[in-house]
Amino acid sequence: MTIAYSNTYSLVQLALLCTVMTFLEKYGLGAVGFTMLLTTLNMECNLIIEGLFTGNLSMSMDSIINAEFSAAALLISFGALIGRATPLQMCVLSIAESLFYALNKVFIVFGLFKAEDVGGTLTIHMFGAFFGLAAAYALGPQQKESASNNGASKVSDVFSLVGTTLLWVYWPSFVGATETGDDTNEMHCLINTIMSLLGSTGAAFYLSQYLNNGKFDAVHIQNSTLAGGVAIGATARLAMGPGAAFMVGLGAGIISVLGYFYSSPFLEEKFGLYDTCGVANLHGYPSVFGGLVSILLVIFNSEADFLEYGLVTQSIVQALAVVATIVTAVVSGFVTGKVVLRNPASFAEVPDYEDAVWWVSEL
Amino acid sequence: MSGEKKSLLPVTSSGMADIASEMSGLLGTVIGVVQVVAAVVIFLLFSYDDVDAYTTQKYIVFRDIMVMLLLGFGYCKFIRVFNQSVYWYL
Repeated sequence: MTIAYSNTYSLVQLALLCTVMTFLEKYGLGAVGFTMLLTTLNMECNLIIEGLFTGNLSMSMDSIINAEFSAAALLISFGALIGRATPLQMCVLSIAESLFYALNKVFIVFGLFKAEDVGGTLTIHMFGAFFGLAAAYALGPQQKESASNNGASKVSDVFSLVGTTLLWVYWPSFVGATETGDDTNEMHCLINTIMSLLGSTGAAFYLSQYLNNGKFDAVHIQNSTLAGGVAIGATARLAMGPGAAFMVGLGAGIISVLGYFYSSPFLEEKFGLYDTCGVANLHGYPSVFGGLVSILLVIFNSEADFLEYGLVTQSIVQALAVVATIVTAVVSGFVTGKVVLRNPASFAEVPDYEDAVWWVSEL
Repeated sequence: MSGEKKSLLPVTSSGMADIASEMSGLLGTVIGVVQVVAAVVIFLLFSYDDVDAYTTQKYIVFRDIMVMLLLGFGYCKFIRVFNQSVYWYL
């Protein structure tokens, strides 16, 4: 099976790219620019580190795609810190995270436990979210006057939704990236991911208007619609049936919206944990949900040749991989955060959410 | 519009330009060191994988994920955060 939809995607890419590029100079130099810098740094480091860890020093498309996965984990963490950490701090954090990400993935999840996680629910979303949250906790509560800079407008909300649609459309490629050589597995990955995304999108729209007296909250739609893609990653190549995949998406969407509505204010108020983009709600909780669901879903396809163990053992290693990933991410994220993000005097003067501090551009 | 490069800093925030200037040495060092190390290590240790391991589909997947990371994440996650600062140069 070839990924025949790629040509259509190319046209969509070009159209969206041309549209959004025209606005780059005015909107989000920091957002898009730092994303590019950190992605590059993280991929460079991951290519070397994961190559050394696995002993495979051949540069292939597979290793480059693995480096993209590492960058995805970093960008998830970035979401918890963006606007507050300086570019220097984020660069160092990016390098450190490429190391801890590879440690967790190569030696713990796929090495020690041999868990099932084809789409990166555990290794990418869970690790990235809890690493970033722990680092944000180490950074401390939001106390600067410039905190008021963190706000949205209708224009930025629309652009954010453009980003959401891009993520939504390409998410199946992300989940099925490592399965392009196997027709059955690739089909399961793509269909399960699409069904799950449909479920989370429907759930997000429904619950958002329910919680807001009939109106949709842009934050919910920009984020929680994608929660199905996060949750399905651990089980995407299992022959669970499209209905089960859809229900995984429904559950993830509900959890995500409830997280934005209840959890974020609670974490800020009680723990001083300021999660700028709400990565706990899009990546954290849905990934835990997806990891826990994988304990049950291996029942549907326990004879699959890609599972390492029998039914009971596979369920146990899925649970252990969830716990181990959370512990590894929290510990490494907190320690890295304490070392890298602790504000020396000069950093305390840096206004938050102000990309004009870091950019020169033609007016 | 002239092509002159100007600071985007708001005129009311005197001193903000110094922050970037103070950190430029370290920031440049971190970025530069990673480039040098990556160049040396990849040059000395890495080679191409067997061509049989390559399919066009893998490039397509690579491209799809790159769009997700650079545009999807850049916009979806982060564009809202810096919204207020754009008013300085509107």
